[in-house]
Amino acid sequence: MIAQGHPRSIGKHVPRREDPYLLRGEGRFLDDIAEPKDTLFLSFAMSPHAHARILAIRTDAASALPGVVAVYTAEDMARFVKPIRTVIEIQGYRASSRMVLAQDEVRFVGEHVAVVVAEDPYIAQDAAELIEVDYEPLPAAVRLEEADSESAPLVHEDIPRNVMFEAAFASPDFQAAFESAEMIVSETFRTGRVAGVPLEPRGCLALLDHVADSLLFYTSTQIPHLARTALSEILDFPEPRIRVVTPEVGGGFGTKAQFYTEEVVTAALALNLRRPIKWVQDRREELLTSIHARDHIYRLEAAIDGEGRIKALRTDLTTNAGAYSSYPFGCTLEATGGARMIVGPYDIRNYAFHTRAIATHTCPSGAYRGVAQPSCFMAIEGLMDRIGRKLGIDPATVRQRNLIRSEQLPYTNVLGVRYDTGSYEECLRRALERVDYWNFRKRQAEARDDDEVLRGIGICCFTEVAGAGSGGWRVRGLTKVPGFDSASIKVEPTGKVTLLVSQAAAGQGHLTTFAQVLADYLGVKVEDVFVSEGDTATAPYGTNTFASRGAVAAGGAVIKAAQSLRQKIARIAAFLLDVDVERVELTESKAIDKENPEKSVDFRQVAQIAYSMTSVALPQGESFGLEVVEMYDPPLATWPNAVHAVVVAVDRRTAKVSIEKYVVVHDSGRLINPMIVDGQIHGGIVQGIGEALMEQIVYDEDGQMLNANLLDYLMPMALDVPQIDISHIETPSIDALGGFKGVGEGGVIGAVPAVTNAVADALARTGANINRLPLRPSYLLREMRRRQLAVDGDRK
Amino acid sequence: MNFAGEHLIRSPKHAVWDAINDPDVLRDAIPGCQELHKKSDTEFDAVVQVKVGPLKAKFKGSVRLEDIQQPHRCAIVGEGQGGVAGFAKGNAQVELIESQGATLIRYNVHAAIGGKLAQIGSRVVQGVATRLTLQFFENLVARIEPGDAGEPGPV
Amino acid sequence: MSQATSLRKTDVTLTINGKSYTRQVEPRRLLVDFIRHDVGLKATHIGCEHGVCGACTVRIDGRTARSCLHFAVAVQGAEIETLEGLSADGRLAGLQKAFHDAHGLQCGYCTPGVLLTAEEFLSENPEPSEQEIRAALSNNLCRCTGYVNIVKAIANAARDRDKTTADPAGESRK
Repeated sequence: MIAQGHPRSIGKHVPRREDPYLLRGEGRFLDDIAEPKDTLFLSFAMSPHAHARILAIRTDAASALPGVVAVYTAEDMARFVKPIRTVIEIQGYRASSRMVLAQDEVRFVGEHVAVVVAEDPYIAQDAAELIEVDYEPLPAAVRLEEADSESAPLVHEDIPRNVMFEAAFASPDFQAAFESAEMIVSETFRTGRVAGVPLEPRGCLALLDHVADSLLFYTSTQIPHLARTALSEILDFPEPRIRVVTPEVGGGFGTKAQFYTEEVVTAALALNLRRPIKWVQDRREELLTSIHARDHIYRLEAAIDGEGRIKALRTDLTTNAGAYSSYPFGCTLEATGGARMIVGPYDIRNYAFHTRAIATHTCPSGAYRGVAQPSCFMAIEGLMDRIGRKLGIDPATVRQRNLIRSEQLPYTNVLGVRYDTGSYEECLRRALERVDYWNFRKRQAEARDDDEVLRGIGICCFTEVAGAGSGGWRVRGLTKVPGFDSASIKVEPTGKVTLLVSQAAAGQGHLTTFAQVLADYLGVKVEDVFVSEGDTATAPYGTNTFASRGAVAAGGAVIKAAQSLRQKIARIAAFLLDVDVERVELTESKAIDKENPEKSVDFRQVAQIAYSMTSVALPQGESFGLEVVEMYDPPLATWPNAVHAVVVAVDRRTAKVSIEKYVVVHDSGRLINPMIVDGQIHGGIVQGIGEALMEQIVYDEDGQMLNANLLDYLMPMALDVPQIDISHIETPSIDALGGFKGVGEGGVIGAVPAVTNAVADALARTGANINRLPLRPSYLLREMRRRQLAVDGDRK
Repeated sequence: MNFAGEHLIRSPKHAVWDAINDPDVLRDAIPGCQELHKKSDTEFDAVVQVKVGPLKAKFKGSVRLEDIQQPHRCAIVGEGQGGVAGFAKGNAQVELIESQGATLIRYNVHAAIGGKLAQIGSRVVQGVATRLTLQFFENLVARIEPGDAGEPGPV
Repeated sequence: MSQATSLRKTDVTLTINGKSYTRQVEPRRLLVDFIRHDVGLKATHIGCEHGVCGACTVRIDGRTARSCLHFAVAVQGAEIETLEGLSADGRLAGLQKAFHDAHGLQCGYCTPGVLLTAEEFLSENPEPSEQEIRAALSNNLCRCTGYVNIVKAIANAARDRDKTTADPAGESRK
């Protein structure tokens, strides 16, 4: 497939093409795009109540402010904007629709009730502050535990008991296996509410092309194609006349893989007022209205044998959906994800789950990096440790006994999902070795009860669902998420190559990595390839960038397109070289005669013929041009796997946690650019450390968010981060083209459980049971004291 | 948010009671109070400007006296709309205890804030509330016992 | 908050990257908005507008500062330097190369602020320990890299600077 002599680009530390302009500050993010002089700016009036009836909205003072062009409420918007309705075709889902501005009732703090259009962003904000709204505050269902009850206030009148989604599953022999097991180990895990918090807040700019009567829409998104389709449907405006362009995106993490109400409002007002409209949110708005995630409760029960093997597992999962189903993933993504992924790399043959998404009067939840996997692996990995403690078997041994063995691969799990390849045992073996696990355990056993510092070690073995194709999204009912991605290759008349991909990167280095893939599969020099993405006018349709799908789905599309185009190049080259096409090999932007490598033509010579720019005529039967578009639908999913092993020290007096050692053994299949892969893992791990130790969106009992700013929403700084030791095992996927498995989310998925288990392990000798996030000192101290009091009480 | 405290004023109970029912005294004593009008014997309308961290907001609101047991105790219930800054509401259980010609005011406050005030000011709001309360009593003392300062009690 | 009454505009003159700019702005105009929107230099980014994230870091009269925490009027007459200026005259070249080589950036949004912080830090501490680099970065949030490669890039830049200062030709640059 790849020419023998072609110098490989895949697998190399190719420095990023994105860097030079970003390092000079020339990256053009949304707010850097020069808007036309007549641009109008938006500012939204937001609800200060979690739940209230809107009695009256007075906009006169706002409208009267010089510089204000218009003020809109829900009633005005309803004339030209349809509600956003998240369609999910899965049993047990109750759809809620959402107007882009709240109508009659507000359902979370920060929900928009009116929007000001003004000539200057400062004036827009002034005017938004002059909008007076009379509210009748209503009781709010804020905490998941409270919203999930008969007596809770309803978030939507037509959604009884606030259950937005409910599903259950049991494998055929589950009940019998569960009942016949020797013992049951159970635990409840409560994860904290967090958010992606990309450093660049969201924003968009809508421009009109008056001649073509079309909309040019710049938006800081990961999903330009899905956004375009959604805009067309909601605004009832022809899709061909909408062009969505993603500029540089300052971090996405899934936060920007949702389609938001503000995007609809910006586009709708541009079309309605016939003026350019720009909206850029500030950080407070970002934290109030961008999707939140992982407010989950897992109740696990494992039926085990005396050796610690899980004979049957039962999961009861409750997730906090927030006030509305976000678009396009809705409220089912976390609920189905957590329940389905939790069996992970373990050979669990009997499984049952019950999972629900509960509506609350809080910001909608959505797809933040890792989705439910950091939380479901925190649960199952926490349970592995508890099995070990209960039986007096080391938790690493418990895992070894439960892992899928390499000879079982390819393996179909209890939910019917196929793992094509993996390295579960080898990753664990190597991680234990690199973290010096058994010596640590020896030293730990020698620790004394009065030591000031408690040390613990935590492990997380996991699989990650990545690169899902159409089958993967259909299984979860997400019919608005296509699953395929695509690539368009053009060898231009000059012989240089344009590659357009249906992706929209937010820092992943796609311009570099897709050039590497194409270089190898087309036999072209990497520097001859120019990659472009994120513009719906040029890039072919696709599912875009989220859920660790870039390398798998778009990488596969690049390979497929290259394979198809290289045949045409080879045919024309064979004609020029006057040899059989089988003898032609493409390498380094040349076509050579394999049997006589001195004989070659370069891509330029081939292209000149293809584009009819030379006296040599196109061979008979060939069509003009050197262009191809291919769609690639990956398998149900690819399955990267990894093991994270972490050593922590907890100060017994202050409960401050320090990470002393962090080891990762990762298997993402074939690596395209190891430097970029490591960068993805580093970033994910640090987000995971944040989630485990400090990050938390705090709502008070009335539904007021108490930390909508970066002073109070704590994220890791450089000093909070350890050295990270990463090593790779490359077990290529046999189901996905190219063998790539995806790497966007693995870091965070492994970090949250591993850090949690390490802290829990450190505190285990105090008797404290650590099962909630975040692991802030106040919580850890409380648990240690509670245990101490219980012990003292027993002594009396 | 809950906080409690007490304050000793060297005046007899009935004088303190009259003072906290007098709109003119209250207007001077409430920090940042710009307007205060008596609507009825137990209701006032007020406009108060408050600074919480980076936020300066003008609250328009009403204050109601409830459960009145003159001159021993009452509940002060209030709420204010600060426009875009959000809102504040709360109630204070106030008790007057006289001993040796002085009056001990004991109070128990439950307050809640909402909107921007909560989102960016929650970290400092308790401190602000305590400070404003203290200032209120200092101002009150200044009105009731001219030229003499009261002793703040533990807060 | 401030309404129409406070909006009287005044002339503000700032020297940015060696060039003088006079603009009529409201007293509440943030320095970062002056730089980005009144002058049109977009390398300085806005991440939080409350002085935490460091994306808006610039130099005011030679010292790094957060341009979202200053009003333009309050720094009337100041010498401002942004990433554009420091890039153009090559003062950042070594650091920029180190970031490129070590993969010290992903989305690039925090990068301008990080570079300015690192440049000032290295000029004061040419042989920093890893811990000192991490401490210096407490002024800058990065959500992509986990700081691992940022720390590495700064350490590498310090090491490479050592080499160039040892060589007399490099002396003139410093």
